[in-house]
Formats: sequence, structure tokens, C-alpha cells
Amino acid sequence: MIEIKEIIKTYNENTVPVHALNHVNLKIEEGEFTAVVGPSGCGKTTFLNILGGLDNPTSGDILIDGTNLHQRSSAEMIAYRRDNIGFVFQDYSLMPVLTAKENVEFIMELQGKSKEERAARSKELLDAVGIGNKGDQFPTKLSGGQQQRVAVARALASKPKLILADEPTANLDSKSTADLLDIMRSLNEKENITFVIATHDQRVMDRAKRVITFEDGKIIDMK
Amino acid sequence: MLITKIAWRNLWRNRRRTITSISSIFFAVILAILMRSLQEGSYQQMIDTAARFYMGYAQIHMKGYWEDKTINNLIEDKEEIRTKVMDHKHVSNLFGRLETYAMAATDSMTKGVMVVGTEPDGENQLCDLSSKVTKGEYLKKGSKSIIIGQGLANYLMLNVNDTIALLGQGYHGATAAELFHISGILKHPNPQMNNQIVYMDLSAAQHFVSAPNLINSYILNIDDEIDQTVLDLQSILPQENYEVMSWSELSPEMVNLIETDRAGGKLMIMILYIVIAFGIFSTILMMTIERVREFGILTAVGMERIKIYKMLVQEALMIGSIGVFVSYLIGYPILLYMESHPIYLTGAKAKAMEEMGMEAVLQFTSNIDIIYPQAINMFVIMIVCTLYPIYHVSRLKTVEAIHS
Repeated sequence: MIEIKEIIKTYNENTVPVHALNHVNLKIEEGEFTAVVGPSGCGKTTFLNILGGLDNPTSGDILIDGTNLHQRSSAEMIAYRRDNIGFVFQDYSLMPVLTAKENVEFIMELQGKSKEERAARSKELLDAVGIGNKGDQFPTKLSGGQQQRVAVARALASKPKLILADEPTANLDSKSTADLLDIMRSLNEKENITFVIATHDQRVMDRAKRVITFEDGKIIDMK
Repeated sequence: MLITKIAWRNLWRNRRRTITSISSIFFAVILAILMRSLQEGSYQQMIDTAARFYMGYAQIHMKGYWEDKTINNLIEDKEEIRTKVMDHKHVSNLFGRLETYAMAATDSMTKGVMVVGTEPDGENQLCDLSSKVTKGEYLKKGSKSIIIGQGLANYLMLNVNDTIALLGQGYHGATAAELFHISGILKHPNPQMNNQIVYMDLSAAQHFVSAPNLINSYILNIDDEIDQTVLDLQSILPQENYEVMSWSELSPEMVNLIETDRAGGKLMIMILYIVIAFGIFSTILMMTIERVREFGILTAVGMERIKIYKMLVQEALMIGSIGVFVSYLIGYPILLYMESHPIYLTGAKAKAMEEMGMEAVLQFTSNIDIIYPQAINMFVIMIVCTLYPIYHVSRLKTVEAIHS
């Protein structure tokens, strides 16, 4: 379970302070499929960054299974992210010099997994996201939807408990969005992986189990 | 392995830029190799001309002779000394010489000459002197005939079978005056000596200066570890009677000339490398800055920064390695060719070199010692060029990098 307590994130503290997050309190249960919504600049991305350990809060705590996320050193945080959190970015952010299969295997290689284990897992994941036949293609040869599927497979490679997705459908057409949401929901339900998705996309909201609405750095609604 | 794979593929993301960088390294290294090859080849040529064609790689004299080279500072030619010296594993040849100066006269002309009494076989082993004889025949042991330099022969208008009078000072004030039959004319590789040298058998010279069984020096041919061999011989021979000197001590002005010229050459190469280094630095920095977001993503998904640093270093070293490898691949055969086909100068340049006592030839060497430092230099440059990009990456904040 993720427990977010009194998170405040203020930018430009010494000049004109901007409160990106303002006293955010939230609990996210294991296996949730949560959409974080709100207008641009409301703090969604900052919230995901802090939840993913990419950024530190100005104050407040995030407890994951009772352990304070931000009490880790920089190196420990990188290792924690590698082993426990999967990221899906709006623009896919795949390594352009690696094939789809190599992109998926990349995190596992950082984890020190064997070649056989990596190969088996990447095949399983690429099959699961429906592009098992595209493993040897470089990202530039894949469509946006296919690249985002590879990104999801990469995020799942390390068997994380939590996947954070920042506007994952923003660059996708309707069909690709629907397919991607199907895959994510399926993984959420079958493997009990927690998804937190920052989005403007109504289709994502429609498929979410819970929708959290941010405005001016505060949670104003939870459904 | 993954890092290496990514680094290698990253190189070819901007193929044109990488090839440009490799080309600049290629031209720098090949230029450096050729410059150094020509320098060291010329030095070796100078040393060979001086040491191998006359001076020897080391000499043994009476103590103090080198400071006061008079005909009176002679040593006795002893079998015991010869045996001791020849017992050293690196001494491959030893022979005695007796040198003096005299006035050479024909019926109408005179010229100051250097008279070298030597052992024909020993001299020939050191410098293959007999092969330089262009007319007549080489010296014979026990013969009173002489051979003279071509320049001297031309000046005095002498030929084989002519007779020449030599007049000079003998041992301890004796008068040295004798007629000698010219049995051969040689072309000495040292142009100055070519104009003034007179070789004769050692016994003839000893008779000429009235110094039986006396010599100025033992000339040593040393096949390896010259300096160490000289030290060994200094400890073997009685120091109060003998001095043992290597070619570099015998000709310190040549050592200075070589060192000065070598330093100048290295400075030029350093300037060349600095210019190249700035180009490489800008390439690596560009390769880094344009991938800031990518590095942010890599750290976000769990890649330690040290691996990113390794990737940057590997990318730089790969560019350097390819450049150096191609330089060697193309440059080494060129060196081998140039070594066996030296450039013979003609005209004013040739004359100027000959006047300085050097052969008018640009000699290259393919010695590996001049080649591998270029690789080391280039690898050091490549690593230095990655330091700032690494520092830049170390300062990156993941969130800012992702959203850059």
C-alpha cells in the first residue's frame, strides 16, 4: 500500500514560490488502476515524479509498504526504481539504438538477469502487449501505438509493483489507445500491478477504477 | 556488454559526425607517426653515420685523452685488455686505432688530413668500410698502402697507385714523415671525413708516428644495452688508467642536437593534438548535450550514473580506437615503404646537409617505439575530452533532464 502524507512541493522557494503540490494526502491500495486528472499545471506530473522517486518533496512523506520512499540515498533510489517501479512516458522514450526486444531486456540486464531469463521474459511481455513479432524492430520502424506497447513491456520487465504512466495515450490514435488500455487493465487484473496514470484522456478515466482530480496542487475530487 | 553495445550503436546515430571525428584522429595520428618516424630515422642516421661509420658505439682511451687529444696520450695495446672487454656479452667487436693529423702533399698541392691507423678487419666489421671503396682495393693487414677519401682524392687530384707524402708530428716530439702508396679510394658516408680521411693499417700508423704497439683508443661495437655495457666495462677496467665512453658521451653535441630537435618535434605534435582535441571535445560534448533527456530517462528507469559515464568513455575510446587503428593500418605500410625507400635530397638542401656532416637523405624508421605512444596520446586525449561531459551528466537532475 502507498500512503502519501502531507506532500508539499514548492518551486522557486527563494524567489516567487510556486506550490506544485499543496498538502496532498492519499492512499493507493495494491492493484489499483488510478487515473490522476486535472488541467495542465495542476501538479499531476509533479505528483507522479515524487511518487516515482524522481523528485523529492519539499515536505511530507511517501510510505510504500511502511517504508519512507525518500529516505533513500540517490544510488538506493535508482536501484529501488529499477526493481520496483515501471515508467511509461508520453513520448515512449525508448532507446532508439536498441530493438524492441533489447529495450525490454535493458532493465533486466541492469538487474543482472541471465540471458535466457531475459529472452524468455521479453518474449512473454512482447507477446502480452501484442507485438511479439516486432521484437527485432528498432523503435523508428514502429508506429506510435507499437512503441508505447514496447514502453509498457519495458515498464513491466522488472516485475514492478507499481507502474506510473504520464499521459501514455496522448500521442496515440483511438484504436491504439483502446488497445493499450486493454493491455494495461488486463495486466492490472491478472498480475495485480498497481497503475497510476496521469492523463487528460477521458477514455483512460472511463477505464480507471478510481479517478483523482487535481487542481492548483490539491486533490479536489476522488471518485 | 549492454553498455558497450549501446555505446557502439550511439556512434552511428550521427554517422557523418562520427566519421568526421575519426578522420581528424586518423590525419593527426598518421601525421604524428610520419613526423616522428622521419625524426627518429634521421637521428638514427646521424648516430649510425657518426658511431657506426667512425666513432664506434663506445671507446676506451687512456684516462684524460678525450679532454686532451694529443699524440702523446696513448695506451699500450694489451691482449689482456682485449680479452677482458671481448668477454662482455654485448661487445661484438673491438679493435685498436691510432689517429693523428698530418699534412698531405702531392707534387703541387697540400691539405691537412686525418690519419687513421686501424685494424682492417675490425674496421670492416664495424662499418663495412671495404664496401665504400669505389676504386682500388681495401686495406690489408700489415700493408703500408693507404686508402683515402674520395673528396680528398679529388682535391689533391690523386688516383689509385699514386703516392702521397704525409708530414706530421710523431710520438713524443718525433717527426712523422713518410711516402705512402694509395691502394684505394673510398666514399665515406660522412662528407666532412670524405674530404680529409686517410686510412692505413695500424702497424703502418704506429711506424709513421714512431709509437710501436701504442694506440689512441679501442673502438667497440656493442650490439645492445650500450650504457649498461659501458658501466660494466668501467668497473672491469682500472679506472685510474682508462676511460670508457659511450657514443653519447663522445659526441654530446649530437645528443643535444637530437634532444632539442626531438623536443621541437614533440611540441609540434602536441600542438597538432591540442587542435584535434578541441574538435573531438566539441563532438563528444555535442553527443552528450543532445542526449540529456535520454540520460534522464535512463536514470529514471534505474541505470546507475556510473554506467552512463562508462558509456561516454567507451564512445570516446571507440572513436579514438577506430581512428588510431585505421591510421596504423594505413600508416605502418607507408612507414615500412619509406624506411626501405629513403628520400635522397638533391641541390642546395643536399649540399647544406652535407656541409653539416650529414648524409643528404631523409631516412624514416618503422620502429614500434614511435608508433604506440601515438595511440596512448590519443586515448589520453579521448578520456580527457570526456571529463567535462561526464561532469555535465553528473550534475543532471533526472526530472529536469526528462522534461528538457
